[in-house]
Amino acid sequence: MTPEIRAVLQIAGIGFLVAFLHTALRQSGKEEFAHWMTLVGFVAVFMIVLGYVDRLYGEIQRVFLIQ
Amino acid sequence: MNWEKVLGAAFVVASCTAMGYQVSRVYRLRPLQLSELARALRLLQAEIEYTATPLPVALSRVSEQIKPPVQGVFAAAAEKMKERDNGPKLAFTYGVQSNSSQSVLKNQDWSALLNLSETLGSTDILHQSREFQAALLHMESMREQATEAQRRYERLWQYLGILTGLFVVLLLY
Repeated sequence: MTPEIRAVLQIAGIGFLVAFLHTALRQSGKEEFAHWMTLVGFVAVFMIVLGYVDRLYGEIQRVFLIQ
Repeated sequence: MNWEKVLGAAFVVASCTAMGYQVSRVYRLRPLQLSELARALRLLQAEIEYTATPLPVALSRVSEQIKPPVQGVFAAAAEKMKERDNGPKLAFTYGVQSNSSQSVLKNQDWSALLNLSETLGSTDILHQSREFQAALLHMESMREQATEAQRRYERLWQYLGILTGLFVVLLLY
């Protein structure tokens, strides 16, 4: 498995889990906790994506902007 | 596919699931133990009202007929009352303190029993049976609340455990 495919699967899995958790929490009346959970999932995905975007910018700089 | 990674992931999921079940166990057991405590109170009420048994004997008789962990409280209270003529209030306080950690009942559940123990043996039978009615009513409302909490949170904590495990595995994979 290439790293890119792995990241896509990872993010999809986190999205699935967070959606499920949100439903479970909302059904038992913990609305605000469900929203916090969604935020945590969002931040986790954001961290993963941040790493890849950082690599992308590094690559762009390496290819085009070498002085 | 490297097996160390899979094995570690399985451990993480298994331990998080176990933690979730451990928390949900409290919600599952509390209604059962509350109804066991109510049953013990009814047995004690019968001992006092119909056969007028002395309290230490009545307590040990009740403790023979109920299941642990509530059984431990009554057994300890009976022991405490038999030695050196301790009052029922003191005996029950001792019994609850030494045994409540084995049950999942909260302090507010035991407080009905402790309030009741203040009037045991020191007032007439009419007054005592009124106190028993009040304590049993309190137990019943507690049990309804506990059943409601079980319906809401038991499944939730199981899901929460499993999903947290999967979440951690996904983050680390």
